[in-house]
Amino acid sequence: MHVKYTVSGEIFHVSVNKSDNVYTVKINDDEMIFEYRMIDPHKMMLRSPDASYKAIVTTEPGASHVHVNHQSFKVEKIIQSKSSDFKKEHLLVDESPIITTPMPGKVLKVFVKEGDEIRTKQSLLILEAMKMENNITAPRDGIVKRINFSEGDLVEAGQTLIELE
Amino acid sequence: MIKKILIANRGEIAVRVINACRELGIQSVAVYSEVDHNALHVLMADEAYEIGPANAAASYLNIDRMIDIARKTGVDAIHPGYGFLAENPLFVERCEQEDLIFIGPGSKAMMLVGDKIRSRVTVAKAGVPVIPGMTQPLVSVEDLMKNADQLGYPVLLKASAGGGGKGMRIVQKKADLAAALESAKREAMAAFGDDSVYLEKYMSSPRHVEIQILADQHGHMVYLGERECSIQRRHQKIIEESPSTALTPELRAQMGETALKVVQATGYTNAGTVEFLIDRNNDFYFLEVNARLQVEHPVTEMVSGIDLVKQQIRIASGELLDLKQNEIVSRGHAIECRIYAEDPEQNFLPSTGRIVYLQQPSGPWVRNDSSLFPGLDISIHYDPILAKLIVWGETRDDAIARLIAAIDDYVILGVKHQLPFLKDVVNHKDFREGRTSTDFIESHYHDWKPVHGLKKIAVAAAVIQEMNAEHDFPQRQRQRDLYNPWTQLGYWELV
Repeated sequence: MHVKYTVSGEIFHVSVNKSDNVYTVKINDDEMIFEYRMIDPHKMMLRSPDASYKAIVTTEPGASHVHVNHQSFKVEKIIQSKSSDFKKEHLLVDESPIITTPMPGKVLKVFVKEGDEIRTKQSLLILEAMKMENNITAPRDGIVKRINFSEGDLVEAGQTLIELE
Repeated sequence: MIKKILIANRGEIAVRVINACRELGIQSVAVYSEVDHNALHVLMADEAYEIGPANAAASYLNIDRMIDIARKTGVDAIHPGYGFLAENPLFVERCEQEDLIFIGPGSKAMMLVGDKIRSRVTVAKAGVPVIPGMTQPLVSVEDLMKNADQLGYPVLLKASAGGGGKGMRIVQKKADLAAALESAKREAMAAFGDDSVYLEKYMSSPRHVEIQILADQHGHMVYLGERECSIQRRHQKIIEESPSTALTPELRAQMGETALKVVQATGYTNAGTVEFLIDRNNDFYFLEVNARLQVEHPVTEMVSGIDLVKQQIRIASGELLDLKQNEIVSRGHAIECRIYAEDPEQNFLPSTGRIVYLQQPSGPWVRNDSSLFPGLDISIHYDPILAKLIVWGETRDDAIARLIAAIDDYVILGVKHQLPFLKDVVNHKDFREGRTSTDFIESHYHDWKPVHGLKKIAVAAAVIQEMNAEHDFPQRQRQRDLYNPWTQLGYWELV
């Protein structure tokens, strides 16, 4: 099995082999061997030659939520044959021309207009969510090509707010 | 004694109040919005009624609906929790007109302490030290500039009806005033329906220390020691403790007596909190009265052994306060941390999602005030507080060690939260040594990012689980723990 995963923006190429209770997992040229034992449907012990880990994993379509030694992660699967997932992978790159909503909310104020030159960390708009005003800033320098929302609009998480040139 | 209470709130505080009702043999009535129909408070209450759509203005803030349900269910009293209608004098007044007991202060005292400007003037007259600032609401940008110049920068813009940091802005220089005013007014309007704001001198690096008080309707009042709530992010308290490392017994008594002066001057009754700022010379200044049960009330309960919610209910029933000042002792040390649905990787923006796995810490002197369960959806509609974790220890060091161990045992999957951040904060040398101030987070954690050293292990675990899940455990067994709140199901009525 060879699959690609992302964890908070970082891409991992993974191939796996299983024999009995031992998994050989190759992640980005790094080969790891794990002996595993399930404790309950979500909890497992992973033992590699030099360390052991207690992991909690819940799986939903396309993604897993994982807790390992006090750290939590969302591990997302990338399936390249589908165009939407391809786009997702594309977005992970910093040079992305698209600024998306990090959370659902209401656009209260837009500080830029199409054609504006913007700098990294400059305030672009204020998004209200959970009764708090949140300042959305530019992830990089660029020129505003398109603004897809106006003040007062409700937005879902992951929608494209602003396109850059 | 009150026999039946409507809890005009949701989340962990509704659960907290229902628990107090159960122990007092009082019937509880819950209300819920469309999106909260299977929330924990709904399942725990003796009765539950839908109050309206998700939008709080049409549900948890809907006074007519609330009174209507109170009437239909025949309750004697309403407990407002914190937030929503808890400090709305119009609601208190309405309860008084309808002959329903509001578990909190009377409408006159509520009106007075809710008006930050008027209460400053009132307590100053009673000899209570206040922070220099305006005694009238702002009328114009010119007015603002003039007052800011007089006070000297930096200044603090505050909503007169404010609380929880909403509508509050620190302004460093003249050029930023107009923008800050606009945004403060907008936020104040959205949060409180009142956009009046005023200016105060901004105190740099103060400590936030508050005194818990209880006052009955017969003139008896006591203070129950202090809580230090200096650790704040965006003016939101995140860690609270009692006692404060800044207070000597003399200062504690002095602040306690001053808090009672505030209670007397404002005619306040029931449970309340008098907030103070303490500067570097240990001079303290009145900040405001919180006319409600505070989010951080468990800290006081843990060190005093006094159940504040039960006291609230007894006082509201008209009973005499059964506590004497010289019998109130604070024992050991308690710390609370607030767990918020926020994404530390995205500058602590609110996060939403479904809780897919939950493991809460337990053990001696570990308390979870929570309404979480696996399967619960965290929506954008309400405050992002997920739960509170409170611990007690014989000493402050014991309490810190216990809190860190408890955070390590806490697992919430499916929604982003800031538990790793909270752990870093309580682990910080300055926090451990008691050097806290309201700019602690800003100065020590300006650009905090979570440690993610185990990404590869997480990927490996996900892959292994994926390959195993189908064969090792039948579907039925895997789903079982998703529904555990139902095991706590009491009598429950859907309308």
